[in-house]
Order: sequence, then C-alpha cells, then structure tokens
Amino acid sequence: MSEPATEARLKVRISNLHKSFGHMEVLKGIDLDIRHGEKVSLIGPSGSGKTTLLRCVNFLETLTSGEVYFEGERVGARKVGDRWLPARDRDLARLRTRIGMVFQRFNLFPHLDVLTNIMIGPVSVLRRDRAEAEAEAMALLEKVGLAHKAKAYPEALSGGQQQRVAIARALAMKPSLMLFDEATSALDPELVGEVLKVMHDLADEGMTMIIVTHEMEFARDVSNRVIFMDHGLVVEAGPPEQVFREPAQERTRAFLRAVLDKQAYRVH
Amino acid sequence: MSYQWDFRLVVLDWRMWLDAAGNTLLVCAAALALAVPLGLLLAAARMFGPAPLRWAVIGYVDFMRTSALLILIIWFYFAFPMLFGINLSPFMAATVAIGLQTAAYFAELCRAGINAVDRGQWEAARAIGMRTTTMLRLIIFPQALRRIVPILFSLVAEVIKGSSLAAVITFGELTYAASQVSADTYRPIETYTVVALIYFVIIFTASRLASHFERRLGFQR
Ligand SMILES: Nc1ncnc2c1ncn2[C@@H]1O[C@H](COP(=O)(O)OP(=O)(O)O)[C@@H](O)[C@H]1O
Ligand SMILES: [Mg+2]
Repeated sequence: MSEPATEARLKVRISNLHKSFGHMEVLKGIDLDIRHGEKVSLIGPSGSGKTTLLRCVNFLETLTSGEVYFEGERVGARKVGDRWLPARDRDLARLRTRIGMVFQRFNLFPHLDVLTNIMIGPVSVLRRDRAEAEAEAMALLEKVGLAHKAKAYPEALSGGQQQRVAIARALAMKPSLMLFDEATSALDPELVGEVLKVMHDLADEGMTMIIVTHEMEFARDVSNRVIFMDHGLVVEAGPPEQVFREPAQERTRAFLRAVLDKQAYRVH
Repeated sequence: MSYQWDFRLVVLDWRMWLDAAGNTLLVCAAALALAVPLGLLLAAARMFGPAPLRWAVIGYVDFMRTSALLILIIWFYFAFPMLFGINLSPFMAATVAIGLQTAAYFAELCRAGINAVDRGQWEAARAIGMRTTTMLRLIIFPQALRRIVPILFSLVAEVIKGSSLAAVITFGELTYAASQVSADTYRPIETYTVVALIYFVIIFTASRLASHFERRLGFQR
C-alpha cells in the first residue's frame, strides 16, 4: 500500500483498476498516476476502454475492483470508522464539482440558453451569487469566443460552438482536472480547429487534463505523456516524442500507422 | 330514406343538457385530480423506490391498464360497498374507478417521458456535480415535460370519453342524460346526435386549449 502522502501530491492515482460490464472485462488492471498540471493523452483503437477509464475517474462508472484517487481522496467510497462504504449521492456530487468533463456529443442542456447552461452549475450546485456567476459565465464565453451567443439556444449553434460552450460549462465550476472524451470526434473537420484551440489555451494555463483523442498532432503538441491502450490494458506510455516516433510495441506502431493513414486520407 | 328529423323535443330541456355536461366535466376533473398526483407518486416509486415497492407499482399499473373501465366502475359501485361497508355515490364510484385507472396510464406516461431524456443529459448534469434531486428538477423534468404534456391532453380526451361509462351506475352525466331523453321523447336518433355533438365540442375545445398552452409554454421548441 502506498501512503496517503504520495497520493496527495498526485492529481489522480489509478491503481489496479478493473471494470467489467456483465461478463465482459473492459479494463483489465490499469495503473496510472497523473501529477498536478500534467496533460495526458489516451489513444487507442475503438473499444479499447478509453472512455470507460475516463468515466471511472469521476465515477460515472462504478469500479469493479481496484482504486481511483483524486487529490488523495478515494473516488466512489467513503471511510466510516475503519470500513469503506459506497459513496453517497452527495459525496459523488461534491467530488464531481472539482472534475470537469467534456463529452463527445457535447450534451448541452437543450432547454436552457447558452448563458444558463454555463451558470446553472455555479448557481444551483455551488450556490454562487447569481450576478457574479453570470459575470463569470460571460467572461468564459468571451474566452471561448462566443459572447455573442449568450442568449442563443444550443440547437442554434454549430457543433464546434456547442463544444466550446460545453467546455465553458465545465470550466465554470472551477475544476482542477478536466476530462475530455473525444471532444472533436463528432465535429465536421473544419470545426475541429476552434475546439482544439480552446483546449490548447487551457493546457497553456496549466490545467491538469486527461484527453482521449484521435488527433495525434494535437496530442503530440500538448501532452506531457501519451498512453496507448488496447483491449483494456495500457500497452505503452511515455513522452509524445517517444510514443509517436519510436514506439516500443508493435501494436502501437500498427495503430499509429492506421490512424495516420486515415488522417492523411482525410486531409487530401 | 326520408327520415323526418325533429330536434325540438330533444333540445327543449336545454338546462338539463347543461347540467349533464357539467357533471361530465365534474367527474373528469375529479378523476384527474386523483390521477395526476397519484400517477406522479406511482412513477416516482417505480423509478426511484426500493425493489418491493417497484414490483408493487408494476403490478398495480399492469392490472389497471388491462382492466375494462366499465367493470372497474361497476365494481366500485356494487362490490366495493359490500366488501368494505362504505357506500360510494355514483359520482364517487366513477371518480375512483376512472381516477385509479388513469393514474396508471399517467404514471407510465411520466416514466416514458423521463426515460426518453437522453442519457447524455443525466451524465452532463452529474458531471457538473448536481445531486439527483437537483438534476431531476432542473434538467430532466423540464425536458420530460415537453414530451408528457401533449400526450397528457390526449389522456384527458380519453378520460372524457371514458366518463360516459358512468351512465351504467346512473350518474347523471351526458350519456345517462341521453338515455333518459331518448326514452322520454322516443327520438333516439336526434338525442344521440345531440350528445355526440356535445362530446365533440367538449373534446375539441380541450384539444384546442391544449395546443394553445403547448405553444404558450414554449413546448414546441
Ligand atoms: N455501459 C456499457 N455496457 C456494456 N458494455 C459497455 C458499456 N460501455 C462500454 N462498453 C463496452 O466496453 C468496451 C470499451 O468501451 P469504451 O470504453 O467506450 O472504449 P473506447 O472509448 O476506447 O472506444 C467496448 O467493447 C464497449 O462496447
Ligand atoms: Mg470512447
């Protein structure tokens, strides 16, 4: 057992994490430590368990076994005396206020305008003053270049705009970790850039980020570390130069070759 | 065919028709006043209650949805008093029978409306730290409502039609009134033409009001 002091210095510690859906084991023992301020890209073929791993970090999925710690706190469990019990609704809610998540399909609230989408967390969850929350939401909209869309409804926005609002919505909670699950995969190619730029800026500001992506160039530019997953296991991990230029594993090489071919095809 | 239409006798006592229409609306309103809160409770119990409660609700809903309303009405009027020693007036028996069955339909309607809200909405709400109650109140219910409200109005139309069955236990609503008038005047064709028109006017008005409210509340978006 590692002592809590180690865990406290880490933003996220994932230790021997297993996750099954029914009889199908999707994560087969993941160990991963993420330091404060680190940007980690998760790459790998579809179905390799990237999304599931991300969702275990904020407990949108329950863990089958193993542990996840966020800022030294065990995720999904609470200690009562010397026993671990399942976290309650309110424990999970409190944890999730500190972890932002951006979904492939944006998931903006369609019945609320853009400004309210961003304010609703701070106002209804953090009980922030409405006027202050609104001012901050406007500042965030400014930052993602959508101040002029404050009163628009999500359906009136392009995919790229919706995703930028979704990022602003997550940032409004002032999280200390951001999870991105293929944030640009549902976008038309010409809209990918505007979202990647917002993510890039966020990385430059020092946010800790776990990024599931197929954008290899982006992963190379912003990540401190790239992790290649396949069949529920981490196959290879290292700095982007190493994983992209001289992957040690044949499976990594094959995957990169396939992805780069596809992307080259897309561009030309 | 040269039937000699003659509405004079049939519409002579128009106050009686008005009373009967009032009774129809009254029993429907009372049944809905029972069905809506009860349906909400049933839906909540079915979706968020502990397992035994969920099974009980599933049993209740299935039973009510597969029961013939006419039989329920008769049962509450004749059998219920004998079993429990409580006499129900025709109005009460009809209200309870229609209300209990409509509650089952309404509960299913609510459950379907809530389940139809995209999973991504639940997850996005949780991901920004909403507790379940906050999420339901601010994110899920408002979206479910847009699906529920339009169908609720067709349920209301069903209730109005169903209330005609209360005639068999002599509750003085439109259909019962029609049977009386028809017997008194020997003019069944005119009588039932008139009563059909009255039902049409009531249900048509209700449906117009419904779409008006739908638009007013912005449910079209
Ligand atoms: N809720 C679920 N129920 C059952 N199987 C699931 C569920 N979520 C994911 N899976 C399965 O788990 C595997 C990994 O999925 P996922 O984590 O989404 O992979 P990736 O994001 O790398 O494409 C896939 O085979 C997928 O079908
Ligand atoms: Mg995925």
